[in-house]
Amino acid sequence: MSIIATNLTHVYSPSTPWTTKALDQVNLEIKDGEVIGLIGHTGSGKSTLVQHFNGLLKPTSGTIRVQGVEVVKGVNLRPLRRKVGLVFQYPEHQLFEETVAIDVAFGLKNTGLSKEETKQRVEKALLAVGIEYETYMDRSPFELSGGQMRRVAIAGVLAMEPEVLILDEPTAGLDPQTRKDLLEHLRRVQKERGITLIIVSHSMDDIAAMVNRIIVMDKGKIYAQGSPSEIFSHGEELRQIGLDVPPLTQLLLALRARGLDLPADILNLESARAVIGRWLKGGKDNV
Amino acid sequence: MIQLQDVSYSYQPEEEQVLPAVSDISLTIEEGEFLAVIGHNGSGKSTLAKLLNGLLLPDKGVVSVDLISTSDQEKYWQIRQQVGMVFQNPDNQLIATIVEEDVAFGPENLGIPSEEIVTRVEESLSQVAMLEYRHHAPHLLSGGQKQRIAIAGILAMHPKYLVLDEPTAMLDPQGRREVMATVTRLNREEGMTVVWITHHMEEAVRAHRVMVMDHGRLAIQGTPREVFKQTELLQLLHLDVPVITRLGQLLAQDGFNLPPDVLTVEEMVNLLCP
Amino acid sequence: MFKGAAIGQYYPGDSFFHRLEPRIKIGLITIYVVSLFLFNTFWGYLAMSMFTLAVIITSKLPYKVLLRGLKPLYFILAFTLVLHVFLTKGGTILFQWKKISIESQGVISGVMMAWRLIILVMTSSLLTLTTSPIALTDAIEGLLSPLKPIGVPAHELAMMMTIALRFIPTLLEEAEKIMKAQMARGADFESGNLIQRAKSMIPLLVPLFISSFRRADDLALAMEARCYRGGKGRTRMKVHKITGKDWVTLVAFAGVVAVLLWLKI
Repeated sequence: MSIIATNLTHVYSPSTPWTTKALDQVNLEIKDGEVIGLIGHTGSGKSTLVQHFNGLLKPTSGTIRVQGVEVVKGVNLRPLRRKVGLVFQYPEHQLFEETVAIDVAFGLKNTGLSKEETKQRVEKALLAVGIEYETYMDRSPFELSGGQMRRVAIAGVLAMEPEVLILDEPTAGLDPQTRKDLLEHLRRVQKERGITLIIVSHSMDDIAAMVNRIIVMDKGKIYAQGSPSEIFSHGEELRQIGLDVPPLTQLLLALRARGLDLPADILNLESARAVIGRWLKGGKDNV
Repeated sequence: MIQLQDVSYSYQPEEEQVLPAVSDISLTIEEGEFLAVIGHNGSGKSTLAKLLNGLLLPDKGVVSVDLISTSDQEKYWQIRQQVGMVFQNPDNQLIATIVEEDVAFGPENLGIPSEEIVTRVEESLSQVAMLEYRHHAPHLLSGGQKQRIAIAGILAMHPKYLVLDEPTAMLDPQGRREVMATVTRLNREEGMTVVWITHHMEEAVRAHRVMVMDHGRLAIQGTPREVFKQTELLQLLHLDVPVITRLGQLLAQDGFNLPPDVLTVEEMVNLLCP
Repeated sequence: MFKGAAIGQYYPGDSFFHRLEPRIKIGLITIYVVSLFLFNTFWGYLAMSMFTLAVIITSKLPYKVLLRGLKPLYFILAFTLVLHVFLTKGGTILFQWKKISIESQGVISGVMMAWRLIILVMTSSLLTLTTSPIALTDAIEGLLSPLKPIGVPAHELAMMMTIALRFIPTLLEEAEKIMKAQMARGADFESGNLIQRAKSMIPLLVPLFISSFRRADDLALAMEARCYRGGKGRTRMKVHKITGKDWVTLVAFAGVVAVLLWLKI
């Protein structure tokens, strides 16, 4: 099972003055169990692309097959939406039920699960995002802190036990600590369940360490894809298409620009420390 | 000069939830200064911002703007005109359907004559480099552009102080850069006093002074260098240290001769490769 | 999807009708609408249609947009037409089958009614198409302000209208986003009977209400921070002055209509 897009094109409001081509001949394959970072600035087409993955949008032309289902008109897409969980930006704005437990269980309605099974799923989903079931189940979701609300909303999608989990800007507006916690939970869920995880973001800083592959989008097309270190070594080009380059990459690029033979594909503080340390110790004389 | 003397504020006790408040803060914001206020969600940053222009009045202590207390009911509007405020969500602070009409909203409220409003609108839209969008509808602009319109709307009131409450929290990196550059320019070139509230450490690096808040109290303050070298304390407050500063400190631990307060990429490059 | 929605849609331009003072424009349209109900003849409708057509042509408005404005009316138009054709009797019998008959008078009054509706809606939409929303709300405030002493909150009504116009696209966009997010969580907005469908709107409506309140809160704060304190002492960037040309237009139009009515055309 996998996600395969062939010449996928999507046009908004066709034949009106507001026509925009949001996706332009995208070809893509995402295999089971991959962890993908989908990156691009606002309007690059990344949100439009992921909305095809669970059939919220249908291609204008080209095809998209997700987990063996082709997304076309006339196909009942509700089963697909259970397999592919999509968490939108600021998902806490979609909470609406009276208690945390009922809200998380919303997606499990009409799935034929027994009360007991539903409860287990809800408990498991909340646990996965670090919310204790017993303490929070009867609380109103609107009484929680921003970070907790976000996690409850994500649990609502996790409860459906999707095979593919897509999150659009999961850390937007959170403070550094909450951000770290949330990403840590997501990483664990991915490992434990072996699901495909797709994180959509405009900054690669957050996600570089956890993904196997980064897909960069620009103007509705795939601009580049590869392992984080491959993508990072093209820092200057990424800057030109309006993307944020993490400070460590900026540093390494600047040092290379001065003629130093250092790798540009630094992903975290520890490797930067090691590489620069090694160079300061011995390599400096050789340059 | 904005002065806070032993200022405390707490939200109505009738609301069950314990809301962030401000307690015993004393602070002086000098003219022409760029002050960054950082702290995690719920540390009282936003409450502090609203105290500065009298949107909230202190329970205890005094907030004064150019020696006028914000509690002085007769000077209410004068204080709000002097201390302009930009909020987090760009969508929820624009009032009109056309950019220039929105920028005119503040001066219209102040009763400025029409001809002068036109001049002020043009002037403030060019200050944020948005003049060419004057006839556009705000809802079709990008987040960064909307936020610059909001800033122009404040500038048109000719304030002395500009308070921005997490103005970049909902923006993408490009929008964040645009807004940051606009405000930095206003401070550096036009001498605007800026209070910048954020949880992005990298943004605070550009300030003259950084103030760290925790549980409504002032935890640390000083120049960015003084503040960011206190890594352990910052981590205790659940805050990040700029990654370049951290790298410098780690390399120093490894025995290399680097100061503990490197702030920017350029600085680090010059230190490593003079 | 909703970004192109034609609510309060304004087509900037520099035509004669565009430049008319908004209050005068509202006056013109009012005279137009009232007289349309007084006219009952083919020639009268034709004369009024010519006015509308002249404005459309000189303002260079896209025909597509005007026709789209009629879309919600299609059903009512068809209904009016059918009702008159079958129920109004008189004139020669054009068609008869058992007890059902179509008579010439029915066809004529059906067509006339439909015609009247079409020009009524088209002409009213000319107002919003050629006047910026702000100018329109200013005009409404101006026209209502003589009623302030008897307690009509002219300024507040105008401000509410401005804000509503500003937030309609934002809220539509938000509604679409919430709908998609709930669909991704397994919500079903499409199937089931009427009651089930109404129930299925709860996951859309609750978050939409909550967010509207949050927005209203934020907006109130932002307005206060920008020194808003009601209509008192407020000035305007754009002051609309009624010029001689505006008065002449209004009087001339009223005169022509009066003459047409007097002649019982």
